[in-house]
Amino acid sequence: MTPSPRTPRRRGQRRRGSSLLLVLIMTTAMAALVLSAIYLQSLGSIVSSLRERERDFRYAAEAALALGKSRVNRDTLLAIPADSFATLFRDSVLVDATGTTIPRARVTMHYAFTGDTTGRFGEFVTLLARASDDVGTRHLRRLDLTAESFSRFAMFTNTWQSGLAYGTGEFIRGRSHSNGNWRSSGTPGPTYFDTVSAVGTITGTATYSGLPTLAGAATIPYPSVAKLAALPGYATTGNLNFAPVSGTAAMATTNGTNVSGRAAGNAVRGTWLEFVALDVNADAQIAEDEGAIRIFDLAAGIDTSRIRADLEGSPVAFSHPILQNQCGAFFTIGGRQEFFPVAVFRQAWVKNRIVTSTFPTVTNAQANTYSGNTQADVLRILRLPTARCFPVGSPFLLLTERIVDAVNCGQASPNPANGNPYSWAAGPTCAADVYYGGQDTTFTPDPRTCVIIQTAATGRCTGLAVALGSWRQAPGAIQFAAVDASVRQETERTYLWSIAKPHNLESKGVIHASAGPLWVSGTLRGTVTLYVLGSVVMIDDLRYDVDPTAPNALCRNFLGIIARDNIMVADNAMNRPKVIATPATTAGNTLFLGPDRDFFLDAVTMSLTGTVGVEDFAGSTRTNPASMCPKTSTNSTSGGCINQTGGVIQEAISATFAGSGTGLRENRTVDPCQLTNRKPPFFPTTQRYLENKYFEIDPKTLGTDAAVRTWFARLRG
Amino acid sequence: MRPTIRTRRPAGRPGFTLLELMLSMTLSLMVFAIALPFFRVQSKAVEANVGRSEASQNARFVQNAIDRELRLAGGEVGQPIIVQATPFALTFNVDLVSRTPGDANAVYINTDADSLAVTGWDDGDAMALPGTTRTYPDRDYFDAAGNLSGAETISYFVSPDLASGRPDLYQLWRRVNDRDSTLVARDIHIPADTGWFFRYWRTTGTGALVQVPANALPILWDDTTALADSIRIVDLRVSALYRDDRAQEEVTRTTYASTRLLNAGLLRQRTCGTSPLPARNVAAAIQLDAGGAPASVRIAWDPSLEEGGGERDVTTYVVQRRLASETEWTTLGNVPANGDASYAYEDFDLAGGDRIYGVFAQDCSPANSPVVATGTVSIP
Repeated sequence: MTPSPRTPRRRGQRRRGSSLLLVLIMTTAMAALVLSAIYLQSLGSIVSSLRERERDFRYAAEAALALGKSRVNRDTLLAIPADSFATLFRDSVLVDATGTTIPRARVTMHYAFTGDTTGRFGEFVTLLARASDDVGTRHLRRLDLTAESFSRFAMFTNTWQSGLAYGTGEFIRGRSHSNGNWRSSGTPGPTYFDTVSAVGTITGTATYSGLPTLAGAATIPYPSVAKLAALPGYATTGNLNFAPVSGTAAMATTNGTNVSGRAAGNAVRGTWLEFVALDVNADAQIAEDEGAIRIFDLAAGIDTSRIRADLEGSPVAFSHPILQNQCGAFFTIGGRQEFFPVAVFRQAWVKNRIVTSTFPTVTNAQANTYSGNTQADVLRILRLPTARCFPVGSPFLLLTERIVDAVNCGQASPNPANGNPYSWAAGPTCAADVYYGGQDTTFTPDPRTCVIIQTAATGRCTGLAVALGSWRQAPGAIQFAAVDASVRQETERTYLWSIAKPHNLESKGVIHASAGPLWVSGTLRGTVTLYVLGSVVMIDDLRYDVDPTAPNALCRNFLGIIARDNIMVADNAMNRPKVIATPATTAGNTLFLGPDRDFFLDAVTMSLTGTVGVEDFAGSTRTNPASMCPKTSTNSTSGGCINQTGGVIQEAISATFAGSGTGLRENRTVDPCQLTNRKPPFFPTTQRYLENKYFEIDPKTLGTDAAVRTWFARLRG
Repeated sequence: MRPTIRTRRPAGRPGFTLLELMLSMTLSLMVFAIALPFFRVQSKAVEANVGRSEASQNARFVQNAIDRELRLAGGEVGQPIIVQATPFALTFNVDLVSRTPGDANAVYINTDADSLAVTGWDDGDAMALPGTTRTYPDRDYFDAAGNLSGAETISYFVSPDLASGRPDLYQLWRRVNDRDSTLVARDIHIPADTGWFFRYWRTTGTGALVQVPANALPILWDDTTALADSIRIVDLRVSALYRDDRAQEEVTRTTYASTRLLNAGLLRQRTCGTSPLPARNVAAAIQLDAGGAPASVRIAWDPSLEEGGGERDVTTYVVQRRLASETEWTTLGNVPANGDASYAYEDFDLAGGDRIYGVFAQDCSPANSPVVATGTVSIP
């Protein structure tokens, strides 16, 4: 048997085996396990890093917004487009606080004016920041800025005259700033409820709200007259640009008696602007479009003291034409208030009517003691709790300013051929249906005056009627198409200048008087800027139709009054106490004859070159009992209070009182609307920008400049 | 001479020797003996890591979800920013989603979104806020233009996770207006001694930022103290839990985050002024096809007077529809204001019963005019 030959293993040939393979597999498997463990362990840090990356982009976008805001605020040469958009920087890197570049993130910042770019409602700048990288990550953020308005300030003065200081008993309840110094005096001194800042120093004792004062603040540039050059044009667009009357003329007389309202010299003509809020459609609501103004021009020969209701003299003569014809008392008759001027109390129908009053109640005996014939009789009328005076032309002065014909009671203009006319309802042909006192509905387009006989009860004039002036008819385009008959007579409708759309569609909310002084008062409904190229004199309260601090009244109304010159509170019968009888210090001899015992103003007032102050602030006409300011005070006597809800912005601060019993103390409250930075139309801005709204934007949008352009266009009016 | 016979070495056998086998098995066993505990340790570690990671993810998801919506609260909402602030519930108003294309106030536009979850909450559907008996809204809220607020009311609140059987585990819920609450996350761990999920910071009258003390909560939108308006920052404490049942251990991941309410305290002025005047002569009529059957409803109107006059800032007309028997409008679409003498919109959806159409003008704020409604359109 031959053994089978075996194939010999060649030298070097290794045996087949699996040990190495097995070890390799094992090692690989273990390595994979270790790696996967490491990977899994690192998942958390990957998520964390992704999150940090997202945070980086978010912060990058917000940092870009902050950079944009800073540039808009500080770079006065930065051109902000109003019809396109500009790019402040594109795909720029950002560095963190340590100076290290934030990895990957690139930021782009676009900006433009948005909203209504005319500036009527404010100036709005929108910043659009995009943070992105090369792989498609994108974060978009939008920040709207709004220019700070001067109307935001409760008190702003461009200069602070030496010797002036706020004192004890004065309250400034809003943001205050001086481009000069700021001084307080007395102990405990004035009370401030918000930040006080001054470019110079802040000195004196005062009570602060807890907010820090800021001395050495940056100057806020004060606007010039030239800056507001566009306002008259805006007023013209809305048919609300007018020229007040002016000039002088010899004092008007009737039957030899001076009825001009002035004691000597020539009578000075002037114009009174009255704000009127009325429920045009009688729906028990006064809507935003139901605000109006009326404009009354004095006739030649009638002095502005008639508009102002100035009661000169101490005491004022009881036969003073203003006292007789423009002052009197309200009586509530049949649920309505009717006004009876002093000059008509002697008439029998008047006595019969006022004894039916529910407030104040009047007996027959008392009614017999009311007349314009003696100082004592006049004083009794004016001591009634409802006594007051009105400016000439007021509808409440029906009885003394709608003079009726001796033959035809209904004749609009008394015929001189029929002899001396009569006061309203006193004519021999007047029937009982016209026996009522003055109301807000008893409007007379062309009021007249005369001297009503006081020695008899006839109500007849001693001479012919004299024109006091006339109300201006509104341009047809801005008259109310209809006014409910229960609200106003049709006669009055055409004299109401509507100030808001849709009745005045093109109104831009600006009323302009091309000269001053302009006398102003009334009740505002709407959002309006009154711009006067001259001075403004507040002859009576000027208030909103609803208290601006009331719930749900936020920004319901907003009035800005801008005067080139001063804005003054008139020293007249309606704002300040007047001596009706002597001795003046005896109780009831010195009286307030306005709608209340103080001056009330709802508005932001701005004087471009002068001050917002008080006429004859040092004059002492102390009442007895003393008037406190505010009413709750027990030691702050004055001539009364300036109760202003709004702000004062002025070139130079001025005094409003000079010690106890004088002038008017300041009791100013900020209108909550001011805190929102809303502003009266086109009211000047400080050129500082405040944050308005913040938005995030869907990152899939706005990928191209074209899309950005379209987006900005959509944000504009 | 004898030939030399060279004996070849035998070739390798195709197999292992017993020794080899024994050796390799022994080695393998030794390797496994060493590796297995390592694997076990690794496996547990991986599992724990995954658990921790999930817990972290869960916490961060919760945080992100709330932060994303909360930080935008406010804006042009017409409603209070904060409605309810308690340690375990937070309700706020935010215009997050809109169905109206071009709505600049909303972050996202989704024309298919639930119409009742993208706009103001109708007071007719008021219901209790989470965890309280107080209902919201107490009235209809309107934006600055006088229209129903476009912002939705969003609530985030935690409630005990009853299924867990533990008193310290909670679920996080999200609710929009009166819609059903949706579960956002589970396994939120709030130890009894923590006592809060939300915490609040507010500004004082002097501008200082102070933490709202627990005893001042809950804060509601209509509190006379007006504290709700002063809240500026919301702290969030999210502790997410992972239970390792095998290891009989729990892993919690707690994250703290603060969300600044970016619009709180801002001015929020409208940028385009007063609301525009409405569209005029709005009318709707059924259009018939060639066969005389109703094909669509055509809504036609004349432009607002403020498109060519007044403020001249009308940008869009928005067309709406509602059933005559209901009061809730549904937005159909919008038509850009192009200066045309008249406008029209076709509604091809003829399902449903009697309907009324409405059109309002919108300016660039955007502020809306009042809706001008048509008469009832009856689809045969």
